[in-house]
Amino acid sequence: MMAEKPNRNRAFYVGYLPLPRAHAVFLLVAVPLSIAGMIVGALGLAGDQPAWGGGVWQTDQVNEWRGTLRLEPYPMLHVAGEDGEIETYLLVEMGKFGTRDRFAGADGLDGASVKIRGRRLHRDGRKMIELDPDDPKDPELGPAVSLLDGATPAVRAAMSMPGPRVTLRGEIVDSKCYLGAMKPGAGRGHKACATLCISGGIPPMLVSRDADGRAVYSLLAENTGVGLSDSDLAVIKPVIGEPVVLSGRPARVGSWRVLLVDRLDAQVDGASSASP
Amino acid sequence: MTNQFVWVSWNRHKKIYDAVLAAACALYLLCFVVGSFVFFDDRPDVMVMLIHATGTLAIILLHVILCIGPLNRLSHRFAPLLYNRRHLGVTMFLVALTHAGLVLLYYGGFGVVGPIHAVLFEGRSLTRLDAFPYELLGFAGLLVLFVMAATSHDFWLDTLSPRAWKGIHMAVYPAYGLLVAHVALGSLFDADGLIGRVLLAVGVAVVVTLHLTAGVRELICDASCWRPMPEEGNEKSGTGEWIEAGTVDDIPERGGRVVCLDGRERIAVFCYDGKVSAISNVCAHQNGPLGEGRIIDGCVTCPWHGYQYLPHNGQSPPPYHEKVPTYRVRVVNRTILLDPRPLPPGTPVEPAFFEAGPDDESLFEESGPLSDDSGPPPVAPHPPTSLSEGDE
Amino acid sequence: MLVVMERIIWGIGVYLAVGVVFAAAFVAAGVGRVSPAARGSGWGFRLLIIPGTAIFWPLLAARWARPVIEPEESPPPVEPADEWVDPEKETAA
Repeated sequence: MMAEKPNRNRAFYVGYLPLPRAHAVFLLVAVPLSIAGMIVGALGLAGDQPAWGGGVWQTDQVNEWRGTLRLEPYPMLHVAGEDGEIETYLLVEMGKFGTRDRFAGADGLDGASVKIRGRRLHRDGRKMIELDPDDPKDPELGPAVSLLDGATPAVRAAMSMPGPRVTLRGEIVDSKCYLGAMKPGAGRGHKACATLCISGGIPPMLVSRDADGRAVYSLLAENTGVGLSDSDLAVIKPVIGEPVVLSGRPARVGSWRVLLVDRLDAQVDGASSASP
Repeated sequence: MTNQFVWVSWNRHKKIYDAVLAAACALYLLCFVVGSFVFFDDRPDVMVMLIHATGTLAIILLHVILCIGPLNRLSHRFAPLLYNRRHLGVTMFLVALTHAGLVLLYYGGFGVVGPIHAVLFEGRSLTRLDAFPYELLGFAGLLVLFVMAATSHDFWLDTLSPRAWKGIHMAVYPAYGLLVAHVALGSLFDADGLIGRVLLAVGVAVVVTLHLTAGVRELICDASCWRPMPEEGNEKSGTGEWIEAGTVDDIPERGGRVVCLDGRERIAVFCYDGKVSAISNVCAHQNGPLGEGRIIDGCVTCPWHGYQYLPHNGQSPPPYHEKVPTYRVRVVNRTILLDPRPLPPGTPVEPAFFEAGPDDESLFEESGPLSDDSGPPPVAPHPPTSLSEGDE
Repeated sequence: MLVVMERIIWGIGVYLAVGVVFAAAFVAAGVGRVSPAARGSGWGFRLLIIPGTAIFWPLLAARWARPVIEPEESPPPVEPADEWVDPEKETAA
């Protein structure tokens, strides 16, 4: 019943009195060890982060491009490259907004020759321009886009005939972050941001893998070749940033690949019922 | 309860504690940043890197905080870490708040809807794991940590009562559950790396094991010092309702021992200068175990934050106002007898006297400054500068 | 369910916003009435209790509205031995 004889010589720590020797010795060992553990942990967890991805966002460099503006499936600029190849830039605004609103009011822009100022994003050969908002010269069209005179030859880049139906497994991302605005611009941690970007009009893109494991980038568009409707955007919203399987017919617009998706509400399984 | 509140009542230990803590956090963040640049071919996204760095640091600090309590129960060597644990807690909250702020700003900002809706709710589902709003778990955990950090000052201990304060701060355990789930269902859910998963699993295992070990030890300790409550009118060995609480030889001079009553509070019994006194084992500050304390400068001194009480009346020496219940004691043939009914906090009780044996000289050779004063001045010279701010 | 949670979060936000407004007045004027130990305390302490005040503002508002509590008197100094409770005399509490 009796407790064992108490240890009478145990050092007793009181915060406002000098540190007993036994505690000081212990702390001199334990604290450096803990800090060493934190350093190792920091390096280990830093190395454990997902790969950043090879996206580039040239935030420090404003450039100008001349080319042909097309509004479908998403606003894009076709530029004639020096070797005759067409380079196609998706056009987005600053922040998490697409350019549809900017071009919605003006007639005759689709197919017009324009000069565009902005900052370049690119990854794996896919290109994008974030329009520069700080140009006061042409208030009607917005500061960064100006019409060129009619003598400028148009870059012809109509959408190709769609190929046979394919089924792709991948992840729906927002093209702006994925191309370099945010790294990594995919995955679970980025889901909220990707959803916000696509809601704001950034073109949605399916990133899948071909048989050799190389990334395949497909802008998502309606069967008719126009960008996804609001109702279809609502259907994909709950599955952005998650593994999905989509089928449709692939086509090309300039240097971009587009997937003309079949009825999305039937494909995205239970997405609308699962949405809160 | 305390003399006058100040924002932080620094002393040498707290300054060193906070300096080491700040240096450790800075070093962690620095190493994380360096690692993010060195270990990858592509340039990191600075904001995302900081989100990862602050998130991992916060969860590591939370594990450290949760381990300090049980470690201190297992070994008094850890007492200096417990002493200023509150600053560690507030630091952890600020790091977690930075993490959440960066997430809301970077992932949730610059868009068509507000950051809270964008990060926590947009496109989310409670029924599908892939769309589960794990950020919501982190947000809820952060809210709990906010309440704890906001009430960490002793003003709140005083205003809300120690009991309510302790209850609020026990919410660290639900918060811990929420935050572990936040990490497990979030960044670790489909990550390629193993280190984070292994560290989290080890961390949870350590926290659970330490708490179980400390709890079992507490139970064993309680059983060893347990005394049955005497039944009403039981005249066992002529002592009436008095219970035996060991002999004076079980208790070191100017030390204490804990007597655990059947279903009642624990009682701390102290021997000093040929006298025995008994007060509640529960410190009025943060319920620290007074029976594991010492008598310093004539006062029972709590092992957690050094709050002091006069052994014969359970009152903190002036200018402090804390009081704990006292108990009547007698010594018969060196056996301590205890009336288990607590007297109102601060009630003076005459100590029981006994003849000092050859073993009862001053016994704290190792603890330096505590060993040289054998006289019992009833007023404590130390606490006035150090008790008015949160110490844990 | 998520809709309900979002409303709760907004509710918490409104509650805390009201609390912050209350806290500004409380730390300036009310805290000394609620806690004698806070009288004459510095701005560092007062700023530090603003977040907690924003959380517990209804409780503090109720206490602020009550009559002023005078500070407790200092505990009596060590009492002479003849006033001690004598364990030999009476054991009834």
